[in-house]
Amino acid sequence: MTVTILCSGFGLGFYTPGLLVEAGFRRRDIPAEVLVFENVMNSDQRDKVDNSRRAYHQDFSVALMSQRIPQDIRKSMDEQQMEHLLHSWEAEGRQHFICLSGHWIYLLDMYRERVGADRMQVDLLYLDVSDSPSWRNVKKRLGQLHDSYREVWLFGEPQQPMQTYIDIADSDPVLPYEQRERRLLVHGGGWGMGTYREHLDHLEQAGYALDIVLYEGDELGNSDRGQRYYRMDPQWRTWNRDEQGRHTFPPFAECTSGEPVTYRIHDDYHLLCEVERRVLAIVSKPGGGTLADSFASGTPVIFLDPFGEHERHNAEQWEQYGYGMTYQRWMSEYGGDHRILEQLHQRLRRDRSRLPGYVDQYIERCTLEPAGIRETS
Amino acid sequence: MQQSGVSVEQIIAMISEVKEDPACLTRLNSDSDIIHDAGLDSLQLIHFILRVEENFDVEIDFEEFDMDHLGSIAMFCDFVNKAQSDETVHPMEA
Repeated sequence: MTVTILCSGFGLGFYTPGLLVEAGFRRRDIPAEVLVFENVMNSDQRDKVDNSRRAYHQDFSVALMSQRIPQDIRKSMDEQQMEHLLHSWEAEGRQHFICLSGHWIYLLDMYRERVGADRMQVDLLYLDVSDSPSWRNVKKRLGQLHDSYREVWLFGEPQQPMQTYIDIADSDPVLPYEQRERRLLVHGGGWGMGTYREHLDHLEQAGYALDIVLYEGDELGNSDRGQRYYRMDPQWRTWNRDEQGRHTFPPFAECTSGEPVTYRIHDDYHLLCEVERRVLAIVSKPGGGTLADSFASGTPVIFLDPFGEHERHNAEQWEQYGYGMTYQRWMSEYGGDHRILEQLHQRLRRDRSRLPGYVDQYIERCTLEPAGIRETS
Repeated sequence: MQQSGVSVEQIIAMISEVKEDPACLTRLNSDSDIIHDAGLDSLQLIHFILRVEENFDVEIDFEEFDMDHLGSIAMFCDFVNKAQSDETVHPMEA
């Protein structure tokens, strides 16, 4: 029996956590498959995702407006691809689904009608504290989903704190603060969105060396203050598969002036995680993928402007847990000091040690033995 | 920034700018559908709404907004004019 993990390539926050979950199953010898929603979209609609990605990177106001305008994703879906997928699931008897994006609900509902609700175990794995647009849009049309599917709010609910987290290979033990360099990782999420570029000078003046993620055509900057630059392969797309037909983590590289760039892919995690583990904090918009990485690596987040209401709630929740704070507060109340970051790190480290990983929890809930999942096929 | 009512001609001019297509000025009228007749794709729609909000100093509430409001330029004008008039009373209510 294969666990089907339904991701979306619209943002890395709905993609890399799904791959982390898949890697977790693989390490435990349980078959799992990642599917990306863009592969059931009409090809012309999928091509437009690229244009949107560039527009959002260039102008944050365009990105923010995209969050506000309601969309009916059904108009973008390819009926032939959908039927092919439903048929293959039915033929194979797929039962276990983990869904990271609301776009998939229409297809899951169709599958449920075909095979019956009792033949499916579906986790809706929410990577934000409140509904992101894909969930908001589908719930506006279909109503609440908790009667049909199991909801897992990864970052907790108002009356219930976090119950689990997405474990990342090689992140144990969390690197203690005294062994970390006085560096900060600065990025704009998977698509390089938001205000991160405005803060680079200020952070350098505050005495931090920076690890900076560049996007597509961004030029390398100075390296006189220990800056390091990284980039994802601009040719890579979340909806493309490798030669083995699998979705992969983004090809990623450190870029050095005058040297050729060699992109690498790790089987178990986005190579950005290796940077996240050794810095004092991540400076970023409050995306769900960043929060998941923050918890797994024990690295606090300094929040820049959110990409929509759901990310604003992410930042508020992380701040309430004591795992991060806004850039403005860090500067105005703490003068950008590193000691407060260590306090946030200690809380993360303490709470992380108390929670089970999501994959282990899933296996325990579905069957007592990992092999049991396979036996039910 | 304009505070007065929004006209069909102004909306057509904005669509023409966003699409970079002067032919829209003669091709479109008050009955034209903003998605199907004007042919705005999703990214152009975002740019169009941004211009509407900026030029007419209005914030469209998408909880109230229905995609049917894009069914004709006249219907969209009515929606924006109503939103504009609603916004002007907020300070008095506050």
